Amino acid sequence: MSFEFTLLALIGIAVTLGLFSGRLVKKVGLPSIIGYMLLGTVMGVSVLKLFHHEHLRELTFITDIALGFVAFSIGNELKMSTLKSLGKSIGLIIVFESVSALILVAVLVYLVSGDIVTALIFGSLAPATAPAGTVAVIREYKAKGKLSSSLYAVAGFDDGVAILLFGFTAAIAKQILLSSSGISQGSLASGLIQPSVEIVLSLVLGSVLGFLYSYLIPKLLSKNNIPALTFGFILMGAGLAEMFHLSLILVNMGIGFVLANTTKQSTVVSVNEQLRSLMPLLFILFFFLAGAHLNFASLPALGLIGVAYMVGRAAGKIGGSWLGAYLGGASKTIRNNIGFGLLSQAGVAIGLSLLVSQEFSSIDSAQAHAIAASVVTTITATCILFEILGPITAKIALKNAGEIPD
Amino acid sequence: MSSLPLITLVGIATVLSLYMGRLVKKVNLPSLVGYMILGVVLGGSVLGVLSGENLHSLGFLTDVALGFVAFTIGSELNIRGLKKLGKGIIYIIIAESFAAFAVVTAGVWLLTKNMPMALIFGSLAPASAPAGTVAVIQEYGAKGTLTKALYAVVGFDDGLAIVIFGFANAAARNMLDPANSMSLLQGILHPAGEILLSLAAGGILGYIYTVLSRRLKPLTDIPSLTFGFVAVSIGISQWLHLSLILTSMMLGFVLTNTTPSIMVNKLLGQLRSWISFLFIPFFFLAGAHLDITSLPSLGILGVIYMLSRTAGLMGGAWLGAVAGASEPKIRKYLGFGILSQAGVAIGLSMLVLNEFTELGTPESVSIASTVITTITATCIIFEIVGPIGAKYALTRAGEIGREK
Repeated sequence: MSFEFTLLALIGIAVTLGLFSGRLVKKVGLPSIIGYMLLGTVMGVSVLKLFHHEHLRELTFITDIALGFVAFSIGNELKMSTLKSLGKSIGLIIVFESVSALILVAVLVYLVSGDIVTALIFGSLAPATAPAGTVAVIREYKAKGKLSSSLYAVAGFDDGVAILLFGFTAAIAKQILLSSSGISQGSLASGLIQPSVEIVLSLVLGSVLGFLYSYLIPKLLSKNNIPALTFGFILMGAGLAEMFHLSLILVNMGIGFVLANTTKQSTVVSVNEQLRSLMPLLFILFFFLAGAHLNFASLPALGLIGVAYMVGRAAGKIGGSWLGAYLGGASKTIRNNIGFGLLSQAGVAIGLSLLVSQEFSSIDSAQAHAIAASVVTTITATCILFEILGPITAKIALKNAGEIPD
Repeated sequence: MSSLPLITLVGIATVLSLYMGRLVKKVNLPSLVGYMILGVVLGGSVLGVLSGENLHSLGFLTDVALGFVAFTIGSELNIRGLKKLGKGIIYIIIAESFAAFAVVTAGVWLLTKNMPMALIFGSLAPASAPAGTVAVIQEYGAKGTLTKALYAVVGFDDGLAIVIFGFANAAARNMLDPANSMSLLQGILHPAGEILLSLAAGGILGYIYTVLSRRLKPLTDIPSLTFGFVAVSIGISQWLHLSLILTSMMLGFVLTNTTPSIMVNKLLGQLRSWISFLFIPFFFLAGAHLDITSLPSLGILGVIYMLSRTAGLMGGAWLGAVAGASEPKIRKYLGFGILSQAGVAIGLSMLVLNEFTELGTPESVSIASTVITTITATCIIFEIVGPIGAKYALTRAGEIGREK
């Protein structure tokens, strides 16, 4: 019993100190969320251990809710008119940054490991981006402009492409592994069909909830009820996504997207106004917990594969989005900067790596077991670096593009 | 059904509550009654969706909401405003608490001729639940002297309720088990220490909170800071067994009384819609906790408890107002606004259950089980009647403007 009590006090301390560690890092020109993460790291499993694994498991619902709000706010920014003005470059950027991250990582990991299955698995994890860091930076610095809008769109939709690429590539990797160890195989098509179904269902669920939400919002009697209705729908979206193994990001993005595109501008503005006072709290909790999860003991496990993965992924994201922007005729500012806003990687990638490890450890082959063991530790280690690096480069990109007001 | 993840359930319950609240508003009841009804339907006594393990793991939400309610109360207690209410307010708090204690003790004694049991019921009577009253005030945007007085009474009477309970509980124990008697003085000193410590802890936290919040640059960070301090107050209260209500109340109290009111309004403006949002899970969880199957066990004892508690609170408040020469509308209506009883009373009766079962005499064990079942059942009624009474009082006093 008494341990629960302390937990609430600990959270309170974390939020208060988080607020001020955010200020502190801001003094040296870093985004506040880096401060929240650092505090989380100090209080978390790596250093003081005030928050241990048991605590963190109990608090995962906070991370889910916060991610739900982040996704909702992304959807909310994606007006059709904005998307249209950004043009087809958005689609090309998403496809190119995702695919080139996959290919470059696969090639580099193959060069260091000499194993095609390992290379494909790591490649399949590379496209996943963590939107929360980028969104937090945009909101903190009140960035506005074409790069900010493009980042919202890319960071949001890229989750869908990442799921597809992962499903497909991981299935191929499994296929190769199975046939080389002489085990009868499933079909390759299912590797593509299942994630496609997942994406379509996520979008359908998001739209259904979104239409219901957008229908109800203008009919509320008082503005004071906006938080309750919004919170209720985001929780439903997050919970149903978890229940049916859908993408939490796509579902909640769908709710925000429908709102932004079917209701009056004034309604959207008042929803945003109400959210503005909650988002900072959610960001503190979210990044504090992310920091508390970071296990620095895993950093030495990085190894050569980890380095290859990071280099390949960063180069793929930056180069790929440059190419996509170039082919789509996007402006030079977008072309040169957008990749730097897409480097964050966190929960989604770790989740997918756990999936791989689960599946591969059930295969009766020594190689499969080795991959299952290495993929989680390596991705956990690289995520530490991407999670810290991502928001910093995002800020630099926005600054370079002149979208952060002084 | 049970595989539905908890967060989905909370999401659905939040949205449905909003509309249940609207429904009951059509028949002129405060929305929170609708939230509670929904909670009852989802809870253990009907559908059973929100019950047991689920409900237990959401306990923190109730605590956080109660902390914010207490914070709100504190922030409304401007000393200058309180002075305008005069000494009356102090008399009212003392009179309503002691009268409820005395009348219930007498009533239960007349019925059962059992002094320890009468004392225990009497000692539970002063405890009131502030959330219902505060929710009604906020929902209808009530303003005026009665509103101010209600804030003060439901906030501070928690302290007095704890002292009365400590004293009477000790007296009852001594009667049941003279061999292991504890001094009555200790029965008062211990809870009095608890209260002083709550006020001190809350005061220190409140001071730090105020200093920090005045310097906070973007106002949008105020909810984070407030949440942090409320959570710390709750955590410390639970850890040191202090009064959650008093500790969190002090946060708001120190802020209001050391900061220019324009600034306070700006800070609180950031919180307003989120506090009204917190009432929703608070009351549907309260509803889900209500075990309506316990209603039949009310019996004549429960009826006596309810009648004498109502009479004591209303009579006491009237008496206090007369003695302190308060305004007529406060004298006439304040008593209607303080009838809610919920979590604190149930918590205290759990304490009785633990202590008296430990005493181990047949009489003490039977008292303990009677107390917990009766209080659980009467709270159902008080939790629903209380807010309705509060709305009635505010309407009659003319402090509820036209519906916005």
